[in-house]
Amino acid sequence: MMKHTDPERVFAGLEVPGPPDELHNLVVSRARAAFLEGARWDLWTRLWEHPVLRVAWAASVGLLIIAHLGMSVQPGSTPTVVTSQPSYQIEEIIEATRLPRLRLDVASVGVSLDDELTPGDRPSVARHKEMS
Amino acid sequence: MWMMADEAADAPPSTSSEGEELVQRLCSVFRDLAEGRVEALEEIYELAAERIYGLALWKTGSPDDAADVLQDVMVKVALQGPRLAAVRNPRAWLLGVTRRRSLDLARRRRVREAQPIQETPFLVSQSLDPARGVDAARASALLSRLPAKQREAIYLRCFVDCSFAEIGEILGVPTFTAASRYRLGMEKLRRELGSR
Repeated sequence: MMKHTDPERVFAGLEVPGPPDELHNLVVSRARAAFLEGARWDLWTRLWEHPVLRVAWAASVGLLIIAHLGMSVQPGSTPTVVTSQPSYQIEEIIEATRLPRLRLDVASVGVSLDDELTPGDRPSVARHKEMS
Repeated sequence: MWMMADEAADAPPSTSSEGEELVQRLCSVFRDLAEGRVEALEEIYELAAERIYGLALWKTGSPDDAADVLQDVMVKVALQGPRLAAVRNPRAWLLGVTRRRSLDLARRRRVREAQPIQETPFLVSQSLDPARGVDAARASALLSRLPAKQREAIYLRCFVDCSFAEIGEILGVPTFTAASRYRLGMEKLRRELGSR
């Protein structure tokens, strides 16, 4: 028999009680059930937590930012400022959209408006009847 | 004074290499579980249940609460899924979770009812020598008088073989504070043992 006042020497011969044996199956089965329950979001968690995918996402976002900056701020160019359209462009638009005036003296089908007609070329009623 | 059997005093103390081996094995099964092998839960229980239960018992002072904490911790492990692969020190992680769960449970218990922990068997003897049983009961009584913070530091140092840095990590305090708690607790125990 020995006498000790050092706690470490006292502890050396003693043990911390372990969990009851009946707890083993109960705890493991509940943990297993929790694991299977958690498997529903497992795929997304895997994707989110996957280190390679995280690096790939970070790299792609970085590239997008760099590309955006590179395209919007080109060296030696000043940013274009959109102002109201100049007057000559407006005139062109008006000209393009304006309908040509109908010329009353051109009644025949098949005669282009661009053709220059002289008063002598005006179709007579007789010719008109022949055509019809 | 304390009476102790020779064979018990000569029992080999746990070494740091054993602790490192345990950490390596836990790392391996954590990775297995992170990859979806549900069987790894069984291995984690085998490797860690005693330490989880022990810390919970020394923290809460109640075998029933320690059982609840063990179950909570295992469920939390199961719910971690792939995140477990990122755990660098599974032993410290498990014991940190155990401590936080124990604190939560102890707070709830304090609200319900303040129960004495003098009867809690913090230590037991497997020896057939009845003197060892008496030693275990006395040691448990002395441990019950220590503040829980000092008691858990002593448990982690003497029975889990943690370094002070690891104890600090588990308890969420600086290494110096962890060492200080251990030292203060041991000094109190030494005084109590010497006075008997």
